[in-house]
This record gives sequence, C-alpha cells and structure tokens, in this order.
Amino acid sequence: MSKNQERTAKEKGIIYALLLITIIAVCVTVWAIFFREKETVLAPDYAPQEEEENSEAIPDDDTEKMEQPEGGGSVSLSYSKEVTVDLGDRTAKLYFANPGKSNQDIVLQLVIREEVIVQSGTIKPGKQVMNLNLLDHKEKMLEPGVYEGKFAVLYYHPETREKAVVNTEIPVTITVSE
Amino acid sequence: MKKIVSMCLSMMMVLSLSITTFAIGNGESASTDVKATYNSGADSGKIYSVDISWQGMSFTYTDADTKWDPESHTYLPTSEPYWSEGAITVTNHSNTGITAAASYIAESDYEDISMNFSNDQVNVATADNGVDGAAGTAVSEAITAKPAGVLDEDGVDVKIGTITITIS
Repeated sequence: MSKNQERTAKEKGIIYALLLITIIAVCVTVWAIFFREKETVLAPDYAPQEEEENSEAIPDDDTEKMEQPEGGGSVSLSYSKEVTVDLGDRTAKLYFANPGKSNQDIVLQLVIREEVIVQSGTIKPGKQVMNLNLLDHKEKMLEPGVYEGKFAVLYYHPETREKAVVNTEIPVTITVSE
Repeated sequence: MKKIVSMCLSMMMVLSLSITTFAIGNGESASTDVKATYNSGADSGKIYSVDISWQGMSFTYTDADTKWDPESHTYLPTSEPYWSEGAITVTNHSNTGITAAASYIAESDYEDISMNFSNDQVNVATADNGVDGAAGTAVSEAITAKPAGVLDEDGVDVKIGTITITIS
C-alpha cells in the first residue's frame, strides 16, 4: 500500500468516526427532547412525617377551631398570589398560612406548567410559610421572568394522615429572578 | 478681597435674620395656616382569606330494591339506584370577590363514575360589605356534589376520585 492510499484510508476512518459521533449525538438529542420521561413529583397519599422546616407560628392566631363535618373537613387558607423565586439561593418567597382554626394538615405545592417545582413538608394548623426551598434541579428549568403558575393545596387528616378527597388550586403569578 | 466679600455676605445674612425677628417681636401678631394632607397607608399586598369545608364526601351508592318474579324467575327492580350527596362550602373573608370552581378526576379503576355539581362555579362576594364604615360580613356559597354511575358490589370505602376546588 502506497503512502497516499494509507493516508486516504486514515482520513476515511476519521470521517466515519466523526459521522458515527454525529449520528449518536443526534440520536441522544432526539431522545432527550421527545422520548425522555419527565421527572414527576408525586403528591403523597399520607402526610409526610416531617413538619415543614420553614414553617413558623402565625402571630396572634387565637381563632376558634372550625367544625369538623361528618365525612369531611374544614380548612382556612390565608395567602398572597404573588410568588418570587430566587434562582441564586434556590428558594421561593411567598405567603401561605394554615390558620389555627383549620382542622386539616396541609402540603403545599408550587406548580408551573404541570411541573411541581416546590413541595412543602406538613404545614400544621397555626403555621405559616414565607420561604420554601425549590426541589432538586428545578432551578435548571427556569429562566428569569414572570410565569403563570398555581398553588396545589393538599389536605391531610391530622390523625390518620390520610389525604382528603378534596384539594384546592389557586392561580398565582411567579416572578423568577437570578 | 475674598475676605471682604465673605464678610459682606456674612453681614447680609445676619441682618436679614434680625429683620425677621424684629418684625415678629414688634407687637404685631403673626398667623400661619395650619395645613394637613391625607396620605393613605401603604397596602401591604393583597392577602386572601378563604375557608373551605366539605362534608358527606364518603358517598354511598344504594342499589335498586328488587323483588323476585316467579314468572320470569328473575329479580325485578322496584326502585332506582341512587347516590348520597356531599357539599362543599366556600367562605370568603377577603376584601375582594373570589370565584370557586369545582372539578373532578376519577381514579383509574372508577372512570365510569362521574361527578355532578350543582354549580360548576360560584362567585363568592367580598367581605368588604359593611355599610357606612361598619364591619363587613363573610360571604359563603355552597356547591353540592353527587356521583353518577354504578359502583360494584365489592366497593366498600374505596376512593373513586378527587374533587378540586379552584379559587381565583
């Protein structure tokens, strides 16, 4: 084999290798965009054991407990519809309270386009939250700007910890900044 | 030169102060208008306060009564099957009106059972309804819920679906 032929064969080999790498890259991209399963966050069927670490007592909250209707429950919600998300410290700043007159525990989710980006621990009656941590890696799917999202409010019986058949959704405006 | 100028300026300032003092102290009365301006307090963002209560959400399906028919050798229904009813009450303590909309998602094994609501959506008026500055009263609206469909005989305390109340 002459030197020229050897060189041509070598070049061909490199071209095939590059072509193969390109095909693999295209395949991976197509899979990632269209076929990769989305990471879903499931709402627990039973209230988490841990109380939300960012929850704090509501000041001067001394209202009487609401009645617990048969085969049901009663909750009182106090909230603001403005939420800000700081990508730098991976927190959502919001106001959400479960006043002492409620007779259900609450788990709060913050949802953007059906993607849960925040899920609290248990917020007991008499507690409120001002800050909640973003779920792992969720900061990567957000860009600075304003989003229409929602609070998904899940209720749990305080003794059995069972999830109620009724839940609540509240549209909120979420401002994301770096 | 600079010193002279600064001295002149100082003298002018001192003299002008003295003139004013003399004017007030010269036996004449001086009156000043007392003015006031209303400045509304800062609104610390809109806070919503809403109570939601639900009852009778353990729905009971009662199958039709039957009677043995000796001629056809079958059981014939003598009444219609029916479901019990539940209710959801939304009470608004906010200083703005809200809307409560009900929706239902069936569990995968019970997709044949649907949910009928008395109203898919209710408007709950503001609690800022006091007359002549009097305190307002919370406003409540109720939505009743009743399943439709047939529950199998082995259905005892089974979860058939979830009701979502959207507050906007």
